[in-house]
Amino acid sequence: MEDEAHYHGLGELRSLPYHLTLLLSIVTFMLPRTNVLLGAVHLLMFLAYLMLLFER
Amino acid sequence: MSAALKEWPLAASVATTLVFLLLGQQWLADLSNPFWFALMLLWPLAAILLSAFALVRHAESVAAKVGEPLGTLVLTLAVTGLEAMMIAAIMYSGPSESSVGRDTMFAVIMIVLNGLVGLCLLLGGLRYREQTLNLYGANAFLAVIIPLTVLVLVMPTFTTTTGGATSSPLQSVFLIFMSVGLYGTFLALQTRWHCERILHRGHGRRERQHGG
Repeated sequence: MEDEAHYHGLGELRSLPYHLTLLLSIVTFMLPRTNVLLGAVHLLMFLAYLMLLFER
Repeated sequence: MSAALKEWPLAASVATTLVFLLLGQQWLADLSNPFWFALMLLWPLAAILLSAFALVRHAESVAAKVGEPLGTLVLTLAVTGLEAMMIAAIMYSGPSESSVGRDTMFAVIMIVLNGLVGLCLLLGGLRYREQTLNLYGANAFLAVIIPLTVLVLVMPTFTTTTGGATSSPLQSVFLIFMSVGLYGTFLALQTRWHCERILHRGHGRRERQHGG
Protein backbone atom coordinates (compact mmCIF):
# COMPACT_ATOMS: atom_id res chain seq x y z
CA MET A 1 0.00 0.00 0.00
CA GLU A 2 2.94 2.33 0.58
CA ASP A 3 3.52 3.24 -3.05
CA GLU A 4 -0.19 3.64 -3.76
CA ALA A 5 0.50 7.24 -4.80
CA HIS A 6 1.94 5.88 -8.05
CA TYR A 7 -0.99 3.61 -8.80
CA HIS A 8 -3.15 4.34 -11.79
CA GLY A 9 -6.11 2.51 -10.35
CA LEU A 10 -7.99 2.81 -7.10
CA GLY A 11 -6.67 -0.36 -5.51
CA GLU A 12 -8.85 -3.15 -4.20
CA LEU A 13 -10.12 -1.49 -1.04
CA ARG A 14 -11.61 1.57 -2.69
CA SER A 15 -12.90 -0.40 -5.66
CA LEU A 16 -15.47 -2.06 -3.43
CA PRO A 17 -17.51 1.02 -2.40
CA TYR A 18 -17.17 2.19 -5.96
CA HIS A 19 -18.75 -0.97 -7.37
CA LEU A 20 -21.48 -0.71 -4.78
CA THR A 21 -22.11 2.88 -5.87
CA LEU A 22 -22.48 1.83 -9.49
CA LEU A 23 -24.87 -1.01 -8.62
CA LEU A 24 -26.90 1.33 -6.47
CA SER A 25 -27.03 3.97 -9.20
CA ILE A 26 -28.27 1.37 -11.68
CA VAL A 27 -31.03 0.38 -9.28
CA THR A 28 -31.97 4.02 -8.67
CA PHE A 29 -32.11 4.94 -12.32
CA MET A 30 -34.01 1.79 -13.26
CA LEU A 31 -36.94 2.79 -11.10
CA PRO A 32 -39.66 4.90 -12.64
CA ARG A 33 -40.18 6.73 -9.34
CA THR A 34 -37.86 7.44 -6.45
CA ASN A 35 -38.47 8.07 -2.79
CA VAL A 36 -36.66 9.11 0.38
CA LEU A 37 -35.19 5.67 1.04
CA LEU A 38 -33.02 5.69 -2.08
CA GLY A 39 -31.70 9.12 -1.20
CA ALA A 40 -30.77 7.91 2.28
CA VAL A 41 -28.96 4.88 0.84
CA HIS A 42 -26.97 7.05 -1.57
CA LEU A 43 -25.97 9.36 1.27
CA LEU A 44 -24.96 6.32 3.32
CA MET A 45 -22.58 5.29 0.53
CA PHE A 46 -21.19 8.81 0.51
CA LEU A 47 -20.56 8.65 4.24
CA ALA A 48 -18.80 5.30 3.77
CA TYR A 49 -16.56 6.96 1.19
CA LEU A 50 -15.79 9.80 3.61
CA MET A 51 -14.97 7.32 6.35
CA LEU A 52 -12.54 5.48 4.06
CA LEU A 53 -10.78 8.78 3.44
CA PHE A 54 -9.80 8.96 7.10
CA GLU A 55 -9.28 5.35 8.10
CA ARG A 56 -8.64 2.45 5.82
CA MET B 1 -17.62 51.58 -17.07
CA SER B 2 -19.96 49.64 -14.83
CA ALA B 3 -19.53 46.59 -17.06
CA ALA B 4 -15.76 46.83 -16.59
CA LEU B 5 -16.20 47.26 -12.84
CA LYS B 6 -18.18 44.05 -12.70
CA GLU B 7 -15.06 42.22 -13.88
CA TRP B 8 -13.15 42.95 -10.67
CA PRO B 9 -12.53 39.21 -10.02
CA LEU B 10 -10.24 39.20 -13.05
CA ALA B 11 -8.16 42.04 -11.61
CA ALA B 12 -8.09 40.35 -8.21
CA SER B 13 -6.89 37.02 -9.58
CA VAL B 14 -4.30 38.61 -11.88
CA ALA B 15 -2.97 40.63 -8.93
CA THR B 16 -2.85 37.49 -6.76
CA THR B 17 -0.99 35.61 -9.48
CA LEU B 18 1.58 38.37 -9.89
CA VAL B 19 2.12 38.77 -6.15
CA PHE B 20 2.62 35.04 -5.66
CA LEU B 21 4.89 34.76 -8.70
CA LEU B 22 7.13 37.48 -7.28
CA LEU B 23 6.98 36.78 -3.54
CA GLY B 24 5.55 33.26 -3.31
CA GLN B 25 8.88 31.52 -2.73
CA GLN B 26 9.77 33.45 0.39
CA TRP B 27 6.20 33.68 1.67
CA LEU B 28 5.66 29.93 1.48
CA ALA B 29 9.10 29.05 2.90
CA ASP B 30 8.02 29.30 6.54
CA LEU B 31 4.44 28.29 7.40
CA SER B 32 4.92 27.61 11.12
CA ASN B 33 2.75 30.54 12.19
CA PRO B 34 -0.87 29.28 12.03
CA PHE B 35 -2.30 32.68 11.12
CA TRP B 36 0.17 33.10 8.30
CA PHE B 37 -0.62 29.54 7.17
CA ALA B 38 -4.35 30.32 7.19
CA LEU B 39 -3.78 33.48 5.17
CA MET B 40 -1.59 31.63 2.65
CA LEU B 41 -4.30 28.97 2.38
CA LEU B 42 -7.39 31.19 2.21
CA TRP B 43 -6.11 33.95 -0.03
CA PRO B 44 -5.27 31.76 -3.08
CA LEU B 45 -8.38 29.67 -2.39
CA ALA B 46 -10.53 32.80 -2.49
CA ALA B 47 -8.83 33.88 -5.73
CA ILE B 48 -9.45 30.44 -7.29
CA LEU B 49 -13.11 30.44 -6.26
CA LEU B 50 -13.62 34.00 -7.52
CA SER B 51 -12.13 33.12 -10.91
CA ALA B 52 -14.09 29.87 -11.10
CA PHE B 53 -17.42 31.60 -10.44
CA ALA B 54 -16.56 34.37 -12.90
CA LEU B 55 -15.72 31.73 -15.51
CA VAL B 56 -19.00 29.88 -14.99
CA ARG B 57 -20.95 33.16 -15.14
CA HIS B 58 -19.34 34.05 -18.47
CA ALA B 59 -19.77 30.52 -19.84
CA GLU B 60 -23.45 30.67 -18.90
CA SER B 61 -24.06 33.94 -20.71
CA VAL B 62 -22.20 32.64 -23.78
CA ALA B 63 -24.29 29.47 -23.60
CA ALA B 64 -27.49 31.50 -23.40
CA LYS B 65 -26.39 33.47 -26.49
CA VAL B 66 -25.54 30.49 -28.72
CA GLY B 67 -28.71 28.59 -27.92
CA GLU B 68 -29.47 25.15 -26.61
CA PRO B 69 -27.64 22.36 -28.42
CA LEU B 70 -24.30 24.17 -28.40
CA GLY B 71 -24.89 25.96 -25.11
CA THR B 72 -24.66 22.71 -23.17
CA LEU B 73 -21.39 21.99 -24.94
CA VAL B 74 -20.00 25.41 -24.00
CA LEU B 75 -20.87 24.87 -20.33
CA THR B 76 -19.49 21.34 -20.33
CA LEU B 77 -16.22 22.36 -21.93
CA ALA B 78 -15.83 25.38 -19.64
CA VAL B 79 -16.24 23.32 -16.48
CA THR B 80 -14.19 20.37 -17.76
CA GLY B 81 -11.42 22.68 -18.94
CA LEU B 82 -11.32 24.44 -15.58
CA GLU B 83 -11.10 21.13 -13.74
CA ALA B 84 -8.51 19.57 -16.05
CA MET B 85 -6.35 22.70 -15.86
CA MET B 86 -6.37 22.76 -12.05
CA ILE B 87 -5.53 19.05 -11.77
CA ALA B 88 -2.79 19.34 -14.39
CA ALA B 89 -1.31 22.32 -12.54
CA ILE B 90 -1.14 20.36 -9.29
CA MET B 91 0.26 17.23 -10.95
CA TYR B 92 2.89 19.37 -12.67
CA SER B 93 4.22 20.57 -9.31
CA GLY B 94 5.92 17.26 -8.50
CA PRO B 95 6.03 13.49 -9.00
CA SER B 96 4.58 12.92 -5.52
CA GLU B 97 1.39 14.61 -6.65
CA SER B 98 0.83 12.29 -9.60
CA SER B 99 -2.08 10.56 -7.90
CA VAL B 100 -4.08 13.78 -7.59
CA GLY B 101 -5.80 13.23 -10.95
CA ARG B 102 -7.05 9.80 -9.99
CA ASP B 103 -8.14 10.87 -6.50
CA THR B 104 -9.93 13.95 -7.79
CA MET B 105 -11.85 11.95 -10.38
CA PHE B 106 -12.82 9.37 -7.77
CA ALA B 107 -13.94 12.12 -5.40
CA VAL B 108 -16.02 13.78 -8.14
CA ILE B 109 -17.71 10.48 -8.97
CA MET B 110 -18.49 9.73 -5.34
CA ILE B 111 -19.71 13.26 -4.62
CA VAL B 112 -22.00 13.33 -7.65
CA LEU B 113 -23.31 9.75 -7.70
CA ASN B 114 -23.70 9.45 -3.94
CA GLY B 115 -23.65 12.88 -2.33
CA LEU B 116 -25.60 14.97 -4.84
CA VAL B 117 -27.93 12.21 -6.08
CA GLY B 118 -28.62 11.17 -2.48
CA LEU B 119 -29.30 14.73 -1.38
CA CYS B 120 -31.61 15.39 -4.35
CA LEU B 121 -33.56 12.18 -3.77
CA LEU B 122 -33.75 12.73 -0.02
CA LEU B 123 -34.84 16.38 -0.10
CA GLY B 124 -37.11 15.82 -3.09
CA GLY B 125 -38.58 12.76 -1.43
CA LEU B 126 -39.27 14.67 1.77
CA ARG B 127 -41.02 17.40 -0.13
CA TYR B 128 -42.85 15.56 -2.94
CA ARG B 129 -42.96 11.99 -1.57
CA GLU B 130 -42.25 10.50 -5.00
CA GLN B 131 -40.34 11.96 -7.93
CA THR B 132 -40.14 10.85 -11.54
CA LEU B 133 -36.75 10.81 -13.21
CA ASN B 134 -35.62 11.82 -16.65
CA LEU B 135 -34.55 8.24 -17.27
CA TYR B 136 -33.31 8.72 -20.80
CA GLY B 137 -30.79 11.34 -19.74
CA ALA B 138 -29.74 9.62 -16.52
CA ASN B 139 -29.22 6.27 -18.21
CA ALA B 140 -27.19 7.84 -21.01
CA PHE B 141 -24.88 9.37 -18.40
CA LEU B 142 -24.67 6.15 -16.43
CA ALA B 143 -23.98 4.00 -19.49
CA VAL B 144 -20.94 6.15 -20.27
CA ILE B 145 -19.78 6.52 -16.67
CA ILE B 146 -19.78 2.79 -15.88
CA PRO B 147 -17.40 1.43 -18.55
CA LEU B 148 -15.26 4.57 -18.55
CA THR B 149 -14.61 4.61 -14.83
CA VAL B 150 -14.43 0.86 -14.22
CA LEU B 151 -11.90 0.33 -17.00
CA VAL B 152 -9.81 3.35 -16.02
CA LEU B 153 -10.00 3.20 -12.22
CA VAL B 154 -10.55 -0.47 -11.40
CA MET B 155 -8.97 -2.47 -14.22
CA PRO B 156 -5.33 -1.46 -13.40
CA THR B 157 -5.70 -3.13 -10.00
CA PHE B 158 -6.20 -6.52 -11.61
CA THR B 159 -3.92 -6.38 -14.64
CA THR B 160 -0.75 -8.45 -14.26
CA THR B 161 1.54 -7.07 -17.00
CA THR B 162 2.88 -4.43 -14.64
CA GLY B 163 3.02 -4.75 -10.88
CA GLY B 164 0.65 -3.00 -8.51
CA ALA B 165 -2.31 -1.07 -9.78
CA THR B 166 -0.49 0.33 -12.82
CA SER B 167 -0.99 0.11 -16.57
CA SER B 168 1.36 -0.94 -19.35
CA PRO B 169 1.80 1.46 -22.31
CA LEU B 170 -0.56 -0.59 -24.49
CA GLN B 171 -3.22 -0.54 -21.79
CA SER B 172 -2.74 3.20 -21.28
CA VAL B 173 -3.08 3.94 -24.99
CA PHE B 174 -6.19 1.79 -25.15
CA LEU B 175 -7.71 3.64 -22.18
CA ILE B 176 -6.91 7.03 -23.71
CA PHE B 177 -8.52 6.18 -27.06
CA MET B 178 -11.48 4.56 -25.34
CA SER B 179 -12.05 7.60 -23.11
CA VAL B 180 -11.81 10.07 -25.98
CA GLY B 181 -14.04 7.92 -28.20
CA LEU B 182 -16.74 7.36 -25.60
CA TYR B 183 -16.79 10.96 -24.49
CA GLY B 184 -16.88 12.20 -28.08
CA THR B 185 -19.82 9.93 -28.85
CA PHE B 186 -21.55 11.12 -25.72
CA LEU B 187 -21.05 14.81 -26.59
CA ALA B 188 -22.31 14.20 -30.12
CA LEU B 189 -25.35 12.43 -28.76
CA GLN B 190 -25.99 15.16 -26.24
CA THR B 191 -25.60 18.07 -28.61
CA ARG B 192 -26.85 16.78 -31.92
CA TRP B 193 -28.94 13.68 -32.11
CA HIS B 194 -31.01 13.27 -29.01
CA CYS B 195 -30.55 16.51 -27.17
CA GLU B 196 -34.29 17.10 -26.95
CA ARG B 197 -34.84 13.81 -25.19
CA ILE B 198 -31.87 14.18 -22.87
CA LEU B 199 -32.51 17.74 -21.86
CA HIS B 200 -36.22 17.72 -21.25
CA ARG B 201 -38.75 15.03 -21.55
CA GLY B 202 -42.21 15.15 -20.13
CA HIS B 203 -41.51 18.24 -18.05
CA GLY B 204 -42.40 21.67 -19.25
CA ARG B 205 -39.26 23.03 -17.66
CA ARG B 206 -35.79 22.79 -19.08
CA GLU B 207 -33.18 20.99 -17.03
CA ARG B 208 -29.63 21.76 -17.86
CA GLN B 209 -27.22 18.93 -17.39
CA HIS B 210 -23.55 18.83 -18.01
CA GLY B 211 -20.98 16.22 -17.14
CA GLY B 212 -18.11 17.96 -15.41
